[in-house]
Amino acid sequence: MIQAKRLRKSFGTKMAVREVSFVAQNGVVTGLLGPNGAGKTTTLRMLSGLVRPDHGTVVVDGRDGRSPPLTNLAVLPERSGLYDRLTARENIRYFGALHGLTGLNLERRIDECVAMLGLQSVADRRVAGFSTGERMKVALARVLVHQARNLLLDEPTNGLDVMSTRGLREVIRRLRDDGVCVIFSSHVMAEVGTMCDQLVVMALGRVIATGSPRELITMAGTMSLEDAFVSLSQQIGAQDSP
Amino acid sequence: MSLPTFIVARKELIDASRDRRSIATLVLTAFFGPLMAGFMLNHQAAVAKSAEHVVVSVVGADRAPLLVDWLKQQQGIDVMPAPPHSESALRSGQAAIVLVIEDNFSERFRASRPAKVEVLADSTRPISVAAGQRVSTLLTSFANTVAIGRLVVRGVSPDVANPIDVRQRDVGTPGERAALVLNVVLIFLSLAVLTAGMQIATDSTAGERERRSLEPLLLNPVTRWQLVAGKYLAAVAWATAALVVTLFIVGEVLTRLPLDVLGIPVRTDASTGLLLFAAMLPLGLLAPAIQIHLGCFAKSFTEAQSYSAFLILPVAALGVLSILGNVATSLWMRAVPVLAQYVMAADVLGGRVLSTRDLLAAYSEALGVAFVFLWLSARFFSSDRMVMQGNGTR
Repeated sequence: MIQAKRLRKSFGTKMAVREVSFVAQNGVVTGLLGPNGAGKTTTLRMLSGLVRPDHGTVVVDGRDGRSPPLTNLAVLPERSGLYDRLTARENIRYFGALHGLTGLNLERRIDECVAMLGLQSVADRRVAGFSTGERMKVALARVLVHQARNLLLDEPTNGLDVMSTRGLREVIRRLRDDGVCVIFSSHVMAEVGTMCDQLVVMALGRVIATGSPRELITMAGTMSLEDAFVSLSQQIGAQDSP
Repeated sequence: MSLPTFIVARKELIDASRDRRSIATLVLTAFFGPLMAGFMLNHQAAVAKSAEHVVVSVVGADRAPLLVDWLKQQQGIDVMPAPPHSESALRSGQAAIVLVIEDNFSERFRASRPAKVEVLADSTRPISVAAGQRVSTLLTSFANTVAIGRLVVRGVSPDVANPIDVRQRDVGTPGERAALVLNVVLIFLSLAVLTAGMQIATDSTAGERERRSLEPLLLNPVTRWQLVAGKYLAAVAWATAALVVTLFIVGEVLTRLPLDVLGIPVRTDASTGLLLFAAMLPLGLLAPAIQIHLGCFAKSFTEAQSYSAFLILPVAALGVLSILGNVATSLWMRAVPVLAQYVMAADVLGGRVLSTRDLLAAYSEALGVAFVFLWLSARFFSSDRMVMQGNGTR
């Protein structure tokens, strides 16, 4: 479980996140929805401890602290950032070892992750020639290797084709059913609608609405999630302009 | 040092060993220096050897049969008639040296008046210069012999013609003379260390950030200090490998050169190699720390590389300074990192003993400075700027 309590962060004079609070439960896929520049990535970076909040706290599995313990977090940043000269397996092994896994235990976990993401046929090839979909899978396997109970994904479907997106959705559902707390950021409505159980809608560094996709549609009095999103964004935009 | 440090170091070494560019750089710098120095030394040896056997082309040999016969009796001297157009023959390299005996040589010689000869050499060709010196020395010695004979005939002691007896004594040991030549090799050694370290230090910092792999890496439960230390260890290992390979090639090249001709005894045994390694290694401990620091600060891989290239300039300049300076006596030179390495290596080549105190000082100095740079780099790794740079600010 991850709780964000009144997070705030600015870079120089630019307020990236003004005030963000929400709770992401175990066994639930929580979607962080918002237009570009809404503060989704900065929020995720504060949740992962990569960036220190100016104000507010992050609570992971009941443990409070400005920087949460990274051992129980798996984070997939927007860019996969794989090492091209290493094989898929070596990429996964590196992160597993940094998480303290060793020997047979490490190898067993690598095999499990490779199997879960269907990477068997490419596991021992160097990553350099991989497609975007394959890269995403390796990056995901790399962060899943240490079996964290909380998974943060920053726009994971960017640039993925239909088949890879479906594969990713399948993996996320499986992890959710195992009781993992999944937080997922996106600006694509359709994807969020189908993948997430719970939504946190962000705009201009603030949370403007939370609830299930259905609740949000009802709240905004619109026909679709997209319309609800546009309507909610306009409300906050009207508030902010003088 | 802890386990994550070694995990990081191991990964960086595997990564670098698969990078064609860094392997190519390692091999090129390791071979280039020794081969170049070998070529130069070999050329010097060839020149020295050519002076041992000189063919003198003589114009007008019949005008001075006594002189020509005397020359013929000297060891390693052959006399032959000069080709027509002797000057162009000299320039084209057909003749090494031309001796012109003037028309009135024999009458002036018989009259005990200075008889003229001309030695033609081409100063643009070292072989011709060496031959010219040899022949001039021989002519002087012939003249002296004749002069002594004439004085004795007139009942005058030959000592009258020798008011000053000049003798020269060289206190530089042959080893030191060798060191002077071989200091060039030391500069190449240090360049190999620098370029090898630079590859891995830059690639694992600025390169890591540019490829966007830094953010995922920072999300692991590893302290920034452990990351920096791991990358440093890998760069040190790479630089050390370059040093060992280059030393080995230097040894191989030098054993194949006819250096005895130059009168410089170069020891190419294993213990000299080990001592040279011990003298130069502090550079391999120091430079990677600075290069990692530059890699953290630079905005891109290319920028980091150009910063590191600037680092090579002062190192090479200090190498030249150590050749020009009086390395044996200047105490301050032993206190400056990099320069101290050159001085100690020159000590090894000069056959002097490396003092334990000097070695200890050099190592603690190098490690101390490296620690400061790594500490600064680790602090920088923790900052928001490092994560955000080139990453957008969302």
